[in-house]
Amino acid sequence: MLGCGVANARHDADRENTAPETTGNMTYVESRPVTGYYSLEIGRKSVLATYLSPLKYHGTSYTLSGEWSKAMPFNPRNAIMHFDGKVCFDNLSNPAGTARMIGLNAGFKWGISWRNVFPNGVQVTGGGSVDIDGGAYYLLRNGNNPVQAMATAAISARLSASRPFRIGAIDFLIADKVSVPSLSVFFSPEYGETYYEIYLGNHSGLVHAGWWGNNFRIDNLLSATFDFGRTAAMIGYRFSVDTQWANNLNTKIFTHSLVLGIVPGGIGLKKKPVRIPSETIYSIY
Amino acid sequence: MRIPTTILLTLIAIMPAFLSSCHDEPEYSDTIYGNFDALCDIVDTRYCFFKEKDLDWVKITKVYREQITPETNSMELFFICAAMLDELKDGHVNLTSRYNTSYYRKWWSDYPQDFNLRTIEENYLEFNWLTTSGIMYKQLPGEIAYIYYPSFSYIISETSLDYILAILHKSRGLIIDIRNNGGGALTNIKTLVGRLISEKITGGYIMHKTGPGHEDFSKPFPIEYEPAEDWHVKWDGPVVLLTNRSCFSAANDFTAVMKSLPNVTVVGARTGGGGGLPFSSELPNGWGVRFSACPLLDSSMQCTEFGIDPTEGYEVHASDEELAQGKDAILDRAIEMLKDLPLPGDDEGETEK
Repeated sequence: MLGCGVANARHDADRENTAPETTGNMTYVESRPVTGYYSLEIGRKSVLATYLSPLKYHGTSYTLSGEWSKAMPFNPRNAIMHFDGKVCFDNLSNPAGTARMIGLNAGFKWGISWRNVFPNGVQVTGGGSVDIDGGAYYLLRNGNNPVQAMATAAISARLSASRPFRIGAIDFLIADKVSVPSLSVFFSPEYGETYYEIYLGNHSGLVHAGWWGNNFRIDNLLSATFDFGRTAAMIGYRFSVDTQWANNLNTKIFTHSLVLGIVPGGIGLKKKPVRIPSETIYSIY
Repeated sequence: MRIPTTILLTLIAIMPAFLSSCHDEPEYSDTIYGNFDALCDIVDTRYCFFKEKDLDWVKITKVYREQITPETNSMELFFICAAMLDELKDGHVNLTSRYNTSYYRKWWSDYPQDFNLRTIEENYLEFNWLTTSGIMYKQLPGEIAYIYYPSFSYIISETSLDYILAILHKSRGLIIDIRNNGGGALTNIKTLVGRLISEKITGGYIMHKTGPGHEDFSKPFPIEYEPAEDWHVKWDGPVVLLTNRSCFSAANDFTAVMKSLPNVTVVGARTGGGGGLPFSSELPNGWGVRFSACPLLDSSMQCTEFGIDPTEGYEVHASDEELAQGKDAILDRAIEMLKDLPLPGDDEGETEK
């Protein structure tokens, strides 16, 4: 959640660069906290994987995702490090409803973005990340070609735009984040190759260099995050495309998801009450 | 700035929807003609034996397309498609609907069976045998080891094989009977062959299609077989493999590998073939289709789709009349070959382990 995370990172960075705060006769320095988004995504997925079938499969996709961001120590106002992770399960069927496909995928991204805040409050970030994605689509009716394995390592461009708003007492952030893997290395079996042959040791033609022409992927999240101070809630819409063309095999995966998330600690839009250390109770054992 | 910001965010959000991949796939409608065309294209681009069988697929599909009319119903279409697939003369080809699975049977039905399990059970095993991992085994009179493996779908465990070979080790020779074995998992071949060889061999080759053209194939990739680990029980004596026309697919491939071993004689009838690993696909109406996709070659790089002949001079048939009378000519021939061989340890003190 770069677009939203950076808002918090900005806020955190601002705190980072202020002088040490004094409360009464106590002095303390805030650290660079990690902003974490934890989301559940439920959506509609369409999968065409011609290694498995010439038909498009449709069904429901469930994703658990987490996104963490933090201001960088060397330039906490502008540089942000982020780490994303997700696990996705898909339950799909063919148009006639006579066959079922199961998908299980996981993905991780680590990257750095540069932030610019304009006077009108719009914040734009740009950066890159290293992505690793892997998983498989399992078509239960197939014999010797039951699985389309997916594995990709990519360098992605990331862009985001966000702007805080306030309606009445509600502070919220509208953000859009887009990630486009641009250079990649990905796996694909050959056109009519069985996994048995791969198991026997024939590994030629399985790994491919990817770019937009043969491995076009994009992930876009439009979201609204409502800050309640100690926590924030996010609702969003994610649209993602994952296409792959190699060895005369075509793979096209489209996902539209509703995203519901929480941000423990909030995103820094709402002023938090100052916590006085002397009022904090610590457990001592 | 509120309006431009909103527009900017919206544009970024919907931009991906206008992007599409450069590689479009044909889409077939779920109609009589749509399903027929999908089947024709799947076979056209994926089936692997057009050249070996000298098939003109365009001509075949044209003939059967003329049998379809807008009034053709789904069940009629199924049988037209099934008849078209029969033109491939391939036991690995099926069309599956909710009410039927088509199957080309002539690869075995036009040939003598050369086998009757009841005859073996009653007259040779005397209703007294051991069974493990789906394998029936017994030492026949005259100290001849006999194994019947009815299907490669039965996963052979290494431990079971250790017991079988240990129990049968004091025998003059080993008969492996795979008649009526319709195939199964190729990995079982490695398990079995590993007990019969002392060094790594190339038992065959596998190819796959690299594109939709009828001759788009990869280079043959060797399938290597390694001896089982030292702690397993092995057999290095003479082996007679019994085959008939109903040996298909993995059993056909097993025969091809075994025939390349110096201590193995293949006795019986030519196997039924099935020398192509099948792939699965489907039609818009949900019917499944299966077809040969990856040719398997023998150790001399010959196509195995049309079956494997017995060792030269060892073609034997067992007539139905003889089988009904309790006599299996193929098994008798194998026993005859082995009955006068020395028992392990009798001549040079060699003992099987």
